[in-house]
Amino acid sequence: MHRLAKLAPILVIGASLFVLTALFAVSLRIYSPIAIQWRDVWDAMRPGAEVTTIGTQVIQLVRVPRAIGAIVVGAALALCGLLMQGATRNKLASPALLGVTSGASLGLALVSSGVLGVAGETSSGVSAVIGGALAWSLVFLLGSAWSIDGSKGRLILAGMTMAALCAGLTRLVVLLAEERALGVLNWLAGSLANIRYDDLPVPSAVLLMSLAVGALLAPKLNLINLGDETAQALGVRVHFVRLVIFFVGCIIVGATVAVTGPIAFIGLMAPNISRVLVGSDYRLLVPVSALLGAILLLASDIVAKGVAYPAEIAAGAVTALVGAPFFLVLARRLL
Amino acid sequence: MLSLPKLLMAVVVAGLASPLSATEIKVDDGQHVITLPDAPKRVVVLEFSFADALASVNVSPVGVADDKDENRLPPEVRAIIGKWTSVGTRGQPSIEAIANLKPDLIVADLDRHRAVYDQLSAIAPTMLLASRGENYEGSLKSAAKIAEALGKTDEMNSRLEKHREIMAELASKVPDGASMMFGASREDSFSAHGPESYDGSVLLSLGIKVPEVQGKGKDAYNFVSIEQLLALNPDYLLVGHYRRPSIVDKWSKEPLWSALKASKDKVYAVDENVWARNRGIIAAEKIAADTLAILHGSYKSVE
Repeated sequence: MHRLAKLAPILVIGASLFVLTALFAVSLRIYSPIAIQWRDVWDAMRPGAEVTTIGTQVIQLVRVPRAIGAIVVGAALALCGLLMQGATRNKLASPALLGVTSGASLGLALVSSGVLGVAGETSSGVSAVIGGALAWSLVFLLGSAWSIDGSKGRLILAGMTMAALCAGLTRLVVLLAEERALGVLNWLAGSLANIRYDDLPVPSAVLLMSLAVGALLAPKLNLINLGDETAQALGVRVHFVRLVIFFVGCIIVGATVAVTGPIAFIGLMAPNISRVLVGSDYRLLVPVSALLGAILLLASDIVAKGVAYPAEIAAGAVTALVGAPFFLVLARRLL
Repeated sequence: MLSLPKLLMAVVVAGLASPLSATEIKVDDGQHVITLPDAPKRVVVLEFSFADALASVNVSPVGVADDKDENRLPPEVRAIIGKWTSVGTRGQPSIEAIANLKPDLIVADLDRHRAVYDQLSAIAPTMLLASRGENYEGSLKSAAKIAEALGKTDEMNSRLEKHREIMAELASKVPDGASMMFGASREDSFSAHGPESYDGSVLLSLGIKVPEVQGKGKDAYNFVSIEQLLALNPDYLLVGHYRRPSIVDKWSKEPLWSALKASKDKVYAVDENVWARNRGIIAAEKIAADTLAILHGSYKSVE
């Protein structure tokens, strides 16, 4: 029995990797208006293969970067949610529910709509990070989260208020810049359709960084989980850990929002499903959450392609449809 | 107490009096029947195609929802209607600005302005007619309705007859078998216009094939990815660049772009005011003229 319990995490990770690989292959093959065959998938992925048909070209130039994008963004968002939950000892914490995603969206909308009069690729990513950071800071102040052991509902309430406020302001920006409204609205839905190889380096680097930070902080988060005082007594610099997570979280959200637009609930669902599968040890939760986040977003993107096929909907709409009831069930149990 | 003969006389006099006193106009816009005491003099229109309809029967609107940019109306329309007062954007026209103009008829869009109908009709009799998302034939019907309200049905009929002749003449010069598609390109989206869209149905009427933009039923427009665009693969791709650099500017640098049939030298930048925003009689004639120039290789892409 004891041995089996030790084996479980390995089984979970193995099964997740298998599912992720299968989804990756499926995402290259199905729901294309161009007839793509398994043969094309094989031809496109096999090293040294000749890319001749339009199917293989589409796979290599559009579908592979899109699938990688889903994996990278999904994993990064899941890690972001996990770190936030660890820092606040609140299983409901996640980038969207704490208002960080909406803050980042507002920042980006302000810049890309031209309302602020500055524009450009870098400034939009930076504005997303700043917007997210401001929103998060305000939520912490409002929810007085630095004294963590207040009401858990208070933090989420502050977060959702912030999210609503930022969403309202984003609407205002969209109205002010009516000309660009359609483009911004489209982006606000959170779609992976336009991801190309050029878009991947930044989020990938952010994912690697957050994996490293997650691995380093995991033992400390395990102690923080016991309470701030206990953790401090055991030598954890609690405020420093929270500060690191704050910065890393803002960078993850900013980098992903800049590429895909806001995608909600991955950061909530992946860590909580992981807890059910492998327990509450953050050393295991870090890799498992990342894997599950990747699986969730990749699967959502496949559903997004298929649900109104041959038209597409945004992956963000799918994660919201699945995530909202998930949140309600979780909130009922925890609050 | 009136005697019966007197009463009868009163009825007869009343019956005779009303048609003599004014030429009352009753129009049914499909939603409501509006009654105009006389041919309206001060008309406010909230879509470009309605301004086009007014121009077609030589009537000048006092106010136009022109998106605060008069150049969005084609010069041909502007030349006829002269000066007008902007009442804001088509999406959010200013009710106050409309009221200030003291109009005696407002022509609003069935889709965009249904929600503010009560506010508008408190200012003046208001027609709700199809423009946004409407196809070519539907837009012509809206134009005819407007003429009816203006008491200019005969003028409109002869204008429409002339229009049909112009279009038939241009259609006769269209070579067989070419397929063409217009799309609106913004920074991060490309909206393909299918055969049910305004410009798509104008192309169809000219005998040009328009790829079926797959999607929700008979939706006129749909956002497409480059992959879906490859599946539509028209011979000619016409792009309205709403914002630059647009996503088509980005796509055209990708290797996959060369797989499009049109990518060789049949991608043209066209004026979106003509192709997408105006949806009127004059706009249709301009679209037809553009189309012919494109097919004969003499078209110059707009900036």
